[in-house]
Amino acid sequence: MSTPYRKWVCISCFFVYDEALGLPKHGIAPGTRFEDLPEDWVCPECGSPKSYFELQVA
Amino acid sequence: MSETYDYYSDEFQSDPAATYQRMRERCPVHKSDTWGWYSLFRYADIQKVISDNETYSVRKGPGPIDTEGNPGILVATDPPQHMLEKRLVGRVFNLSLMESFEPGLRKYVAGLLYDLAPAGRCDLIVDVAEPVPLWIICQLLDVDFERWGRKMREWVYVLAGAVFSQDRDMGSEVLEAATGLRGFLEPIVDAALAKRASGEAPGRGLIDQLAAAEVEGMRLNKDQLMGFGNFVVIAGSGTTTNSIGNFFAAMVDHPDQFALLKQCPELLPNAVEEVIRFYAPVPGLFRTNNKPVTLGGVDIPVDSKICVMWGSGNRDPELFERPNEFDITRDLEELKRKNLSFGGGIHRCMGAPLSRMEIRVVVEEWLKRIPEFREYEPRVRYPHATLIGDDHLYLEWEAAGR
Repeated sequence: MSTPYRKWVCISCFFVYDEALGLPKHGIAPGTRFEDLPEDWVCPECGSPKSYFELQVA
Repeated sequence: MSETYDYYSDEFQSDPAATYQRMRERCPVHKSDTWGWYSLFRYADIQKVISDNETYSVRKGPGPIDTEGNPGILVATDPPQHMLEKRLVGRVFNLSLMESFEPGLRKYVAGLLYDLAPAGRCDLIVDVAEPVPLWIICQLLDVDFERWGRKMREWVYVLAGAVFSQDRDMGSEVLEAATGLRGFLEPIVDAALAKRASGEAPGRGLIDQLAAAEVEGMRLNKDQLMGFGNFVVIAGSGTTTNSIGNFFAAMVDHPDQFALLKQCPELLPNAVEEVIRFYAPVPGLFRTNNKPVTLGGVDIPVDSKICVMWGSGNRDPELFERPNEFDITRDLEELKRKNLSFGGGIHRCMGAPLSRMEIRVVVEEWLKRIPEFREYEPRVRYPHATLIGDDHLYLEWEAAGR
């Protein structure tokens, strides 16, 4: 069984990357896992690097 | 002679947008002969700096004076320390905490307006824009607003102004304010640390919660907690005060946009963001380069203070179409993504959602009671160079009684 989709929150601006939704407007397909985003991907809202995201805990 | 400007001049302070445009077109990377620091006016250069945290550091502080070595948190730290601090602070100071204040704030603003509306006139800054962010800060710190609000206002007014001061020797007014704020924060921090040491549960205030938080084995020490307390009080008040004032000034200055807002109240979040973009209450903040760089063809030696001009970036046609038009119908998502007034990259202001909420709630509650108003005396500009906005904004309206 595949891992459920998760949400990742930017610790700079609180933008949430939802793996289920992806970011189609930015060319990221729904279902794209956070770890599969390119290493140079940055927060679409504030520009912080991937290292500034952490798993959102419910 | 090459184009120049003086950040502290009346010309810049009274109409920064005109200077932004002139400098962006004629001298986008400027070195001040008077102050020795550089200013960046073009979005492209600003973006280069805020997205490269290895080259451009905040270790020498966010203002023009070198403060390296002073205890600092977030605004004066670089990764990886900065990342740990943001993770830790975010455990406590996050969206759900900020949103939790909205109902209480709405009640507080309604109470303010219950008294103000029948009077038919007010000084929007003194009567509304100053107390609102201070009320929020008192909620955050879990202290009595009636007791501390006025004191905080006095300290903040002086200390926020001092961020852009060129004087290394702080004047007696600044020292007095710094001592006052320290005397207020220290017992809170000491009590929080005592609870942590004894294993007692933390109180609900931000400092207690932060003292108890831990990320990857890191906990905040006394200097860091004091630094954060200072930061919340100073950075969280004057900026929002100015933006609340700027909102009302914008409605006076752009009556067509005000009419549109009343016709389409769903545009309020767009209007709030547009006010923040258009007026940029903090015109710029500083970075320091860790190695020699060339920006816009200008060679900048290592360890230079470089002022990133948020206000100018927001008026750059490379970033926004029709940048000098105040337009509340701009796309909200695009505005929020591009708006530089909260800074950018890893140092983006964590309190941005709180500030937006404060402005929105004030405007919503105000318009329920006072849908029409006018300026009855010329506004008075805020006198310190750190922030651009009004110190007094005199509004009047037809009072309908309670």
